[in-house]
Amino acid sequence: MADRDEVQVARWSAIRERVGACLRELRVSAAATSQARLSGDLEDLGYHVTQSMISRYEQGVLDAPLTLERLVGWALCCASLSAPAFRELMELAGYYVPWSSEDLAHFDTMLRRYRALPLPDQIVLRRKLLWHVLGLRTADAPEHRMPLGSRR
Amino acid sequence: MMLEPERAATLLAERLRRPLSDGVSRPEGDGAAPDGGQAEPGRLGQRVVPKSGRDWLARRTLEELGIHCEATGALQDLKGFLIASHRGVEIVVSDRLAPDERLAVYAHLLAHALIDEAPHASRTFFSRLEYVEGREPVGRSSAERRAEMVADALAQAILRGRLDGAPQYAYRRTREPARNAGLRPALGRLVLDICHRTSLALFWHLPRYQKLRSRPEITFLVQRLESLVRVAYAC
Ligand SMILES: [Zn+2]
Repeated sequence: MADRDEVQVARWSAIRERVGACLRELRVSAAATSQARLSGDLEDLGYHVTQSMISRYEQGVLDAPLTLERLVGWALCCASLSAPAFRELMELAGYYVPWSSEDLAHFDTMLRRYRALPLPDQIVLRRKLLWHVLGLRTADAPEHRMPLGSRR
Repeated sequence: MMLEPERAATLLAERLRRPLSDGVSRPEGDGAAPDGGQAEPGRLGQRVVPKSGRDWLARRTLEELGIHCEATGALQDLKGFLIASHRGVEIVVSDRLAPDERLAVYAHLLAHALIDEAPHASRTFFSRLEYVEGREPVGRSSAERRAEMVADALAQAILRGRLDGAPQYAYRRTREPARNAGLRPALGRLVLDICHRTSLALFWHLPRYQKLRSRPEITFLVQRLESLVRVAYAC
């Protein structure tokens, strides 16, 4: 295993329980999303995460690190997601979200409107949102391999 | 943020006013409209894009500016939406809309980006959803309803190809640099600034003023008055 992968796995081991608890909280609070539904929604975004993987991620027992893309996708599929909750989750997972207070407020309003839409509209919007949210970074920040920027 | 609503709205209005201006070629050339229809001859003998081709022209113009446009059949409650971030700008519209409705959505979304209050420099993310009539979220605030009304008026100005049929401060964020120094030019600029601000305030609150301001003779009058002030105050 390459050094970088070992570091990533070690980092993940240190945070997986907290991240898992946060993801579970996101999924079950407010209008709860079932594991089956979440798995289907993630599949629709192009990520294969089975129900059993969801369960193990939430318990913090899965060794394979949850990628940034899947993490953001998971969050977007949960009905209780808000901008502060999103930022909290990202910070917990070690990512810095460089949003201004305007961005944050705007994203929150956007999420509320998005959830009020019928499912087909939500799906179209979610796919687009995922792409844009993954690209968020400060204008003057150097190009990151992972656009949200890993925090040391 | 990559979205430059002022530039996009200005160029789109210009193109819609003169559909066959330089730099825009037809997809199939030879006068054929993009929908396969025949181009209509204009008054002065030049060909103009038929009404059904105007949405193609708008889409083409936006894409020239780096705004990715896409149509989808999956939208139900939304006519379309706009998302802008560092990853780019995209507009998604429902393909159930007729061409002129799609065109109106493009213009309306741009208008929203123009009137957005937050300074664009501090933004890394902007989005806007446009709803099918009757499917709008309930309980919209009066500020939101007013913004809708203003966006509609501004979109109409874009569609008519006459952005100057709206107050300058509604579509122009960048202020012209002072040409002359001194007290008199400064006073002239102050007078103009007050006039533009008043016009913008009226535009935001009075639908009747929006209508009045959109009339070509009023636009002409406003431009003449501005020229007079500029001459009188050497500003
Ligand atoms: Zn609107």
